[in-house]
Amino acid sequence: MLFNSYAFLFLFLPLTLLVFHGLRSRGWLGGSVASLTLASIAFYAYWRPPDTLILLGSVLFNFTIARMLVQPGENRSRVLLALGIAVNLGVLCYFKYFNFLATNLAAAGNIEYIARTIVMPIGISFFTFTQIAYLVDCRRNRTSEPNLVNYALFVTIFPHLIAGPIIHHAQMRPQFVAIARQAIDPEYIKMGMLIFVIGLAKKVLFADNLVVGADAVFNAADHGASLGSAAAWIGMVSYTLQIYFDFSGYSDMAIGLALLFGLRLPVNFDSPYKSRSIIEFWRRWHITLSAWLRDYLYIPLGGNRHGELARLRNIFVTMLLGGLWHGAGWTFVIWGALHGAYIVVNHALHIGKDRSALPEPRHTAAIKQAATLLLVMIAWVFFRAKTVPGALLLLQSLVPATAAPAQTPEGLGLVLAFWILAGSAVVLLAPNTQQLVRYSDRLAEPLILPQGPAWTALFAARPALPATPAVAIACGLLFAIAFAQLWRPQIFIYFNF
Amino acid sequence: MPAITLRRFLRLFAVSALAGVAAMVALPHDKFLRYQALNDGSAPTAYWIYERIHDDATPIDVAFIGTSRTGMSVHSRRLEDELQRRGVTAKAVNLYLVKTGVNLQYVVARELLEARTIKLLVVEIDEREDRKPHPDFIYLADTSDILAAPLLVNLNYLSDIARLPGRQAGLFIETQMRRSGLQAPGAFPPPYEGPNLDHGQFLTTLDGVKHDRRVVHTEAQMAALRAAEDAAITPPLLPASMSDVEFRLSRYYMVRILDIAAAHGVRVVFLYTPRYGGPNQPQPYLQYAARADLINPWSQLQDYRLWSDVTHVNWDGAQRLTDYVAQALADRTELR
Repeated sequence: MLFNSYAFLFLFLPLTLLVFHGLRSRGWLGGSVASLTLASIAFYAYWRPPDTLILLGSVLFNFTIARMLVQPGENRSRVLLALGIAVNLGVLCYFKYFNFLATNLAAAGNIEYIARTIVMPIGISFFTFTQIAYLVDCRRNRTSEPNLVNYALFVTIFPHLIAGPIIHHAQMRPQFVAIARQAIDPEYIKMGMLIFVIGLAKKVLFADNLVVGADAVFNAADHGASLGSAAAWIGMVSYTLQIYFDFSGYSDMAIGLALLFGLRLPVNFDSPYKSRSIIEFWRRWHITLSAWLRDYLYIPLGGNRHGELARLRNIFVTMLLGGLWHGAGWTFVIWGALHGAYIVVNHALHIGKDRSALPEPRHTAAIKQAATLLLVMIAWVFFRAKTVPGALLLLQSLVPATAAPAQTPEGLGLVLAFWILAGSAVVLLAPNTQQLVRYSDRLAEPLILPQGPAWTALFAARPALPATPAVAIACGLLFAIAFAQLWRPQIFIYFNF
Repeated sequence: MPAITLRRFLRLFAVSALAGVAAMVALPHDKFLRYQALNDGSAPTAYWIYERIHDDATPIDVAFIGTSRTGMSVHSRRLEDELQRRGVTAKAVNLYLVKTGVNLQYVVARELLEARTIKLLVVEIDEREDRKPHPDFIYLADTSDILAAPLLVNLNYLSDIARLPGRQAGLFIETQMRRSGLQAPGAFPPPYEGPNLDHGQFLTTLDGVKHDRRVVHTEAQMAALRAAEDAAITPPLLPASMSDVEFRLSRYYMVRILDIAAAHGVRVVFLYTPRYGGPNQPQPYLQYAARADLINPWSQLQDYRLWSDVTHVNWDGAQRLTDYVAQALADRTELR
């Protein structure tokens, strides 16, 4: 069920909220948490009911392993953790990488291989990563969950189940305990609605209109059609904006939905296209995945503990595997490798330099931001293209001297130009969602951050957004506009991963 | 500005959202663009229908309304020639739309009858009634049609209502852009084809695919196709006494077609477009028999070599059926 579908917005969500808050109003707080677990499983089952067995099997398996992990015994726990990770990765590899590996091995051995029909359960990458992190955290005594219903809720809670943000049990458990014991602050609901509507608008207004340009150009490139330079740039920029609005819109919607149930999910995007270096970009883009890769891959690989060269190698390997996590294809491997190389170079340039230097002049910052964005866009070409030759053709076409004379693919009109300009203004100039509403995902902080100097001047003089009638009206009108775009719902890009 | 309670926040949100949706539904647009919007390959005639009705002064004496069965069966230019051969001068149009659903046929019939003076309206009737509304109703119907559509047993009612604000807003923007000369080139379907849009030996759909209509299957192939089609048919779900409920939507709109034609003083004739191996009489016709005659070409279409699939005749079948219809129309008084 898509967040941007009628079935979700007008059936599933109201019903789930009604049951959840209805039970709470009668004092059945524990029952409300159980109802949320059941609703989340029903949400998942809506896609392909048989996949629910895989999800529930995975939940049961990891819960069992984790219960055994928290019992004493160092050697035993090491074996159990290895077993847990191996089974999780084994299942993920089968569904996601079997055909990719088999096809490439067969090609290397000059053997004919007919790909099997393997339907990947939706969200498997996310719930696998979530649970691997949980097992590791259990072994490190960072967390533990004795209650199967709570554990199932942690893994399956529907706002994050399909495409994140990737959550950690230590972060969610106190919240589950809290909503089972005490009333939910009404501020959560107001802020949740606001963030959800902003996310919905990002998705259906921006991403779903930008997809026209991206699809037209990338499909043409994948089919080997000659592209003009302008068309190539339009395609690349369209996709750069589309994937941001699509994924950050989804993340906003997930955060907003969780707030409706009294839960805070981690922030996943922080204006990534304003970054002035690739290192900064990865601190702002898909933040929860970056943190996961750092904590559960880069650090176990050795992190920075064995010298500068080993550190750079570990960074590169981490990004390469991060690319492969996104999909079983050479385009994703190249995307990961490119980012790995970018970061390695970025780090290498910083070796021996004092980072606490004076603030940069404005033009230097602008050049760095533009250069970073260009590198990110070039990498997105591989991420979006279905084939490596298609990506190379598009990149080649970016240069006017090498672009073949070509017809402009359909769909690249004024409407698209409007969305590109509007989208660029939003990502480069406007505050992001959490800045707008002053949302904090840190449980130790108040939900709505107080006025502070960090906020952009545009909004600095205004009170917290969710608290005024004007904001409620604006939120309603934005929902109406977004609602009008729902009649051709598009799937979220990250649902494919 | 003061902080507000959750209750007030929700109330303001709901009121402004509803007001926004209502405002979008009320946005005006150029109906021409509405018909242009249904220009995908599977529905290749909507754009032409609008232009034929409103922009082409060529008279319309007899108009055919129906699905692709009618579209593939009646060749309007051949029909005009055959009528001429029988001493009747009349201009014919085939205003079919692919996919089934009488509600959309009603929309086309009304568009025609309100804009043009015609002599005879020929409406398709099949061996079975539709349970479901036409999926493209949302594209062509007026706002009032969508809002006032029957709610009972109308599987698309809620989704059509939900899609209405988006349709209206999109068409409004497109209308304003077009008036400002900003419409992107290539956004329009092919140029107007003239007063007759017929499919002869070949059918080229808007997706560029050219379908050969001269194809002939063997009898065994047709039997297999028919068996597959039979297996896919859902028999009536409710008892016969409740068929008015199950097929309410089709009947409601068929009666409205008859009513609006009567209001414009136009006679209606039903044309039975049977499926291969279908019954010799269309059972649904019986309920309208008092209001309109039936042209029944069933006996002409029993040869398996006249069919390209179970529900569509091939080019030979179309010629035979068109000639039969021409004779039936020539025998009537409306066109003389």
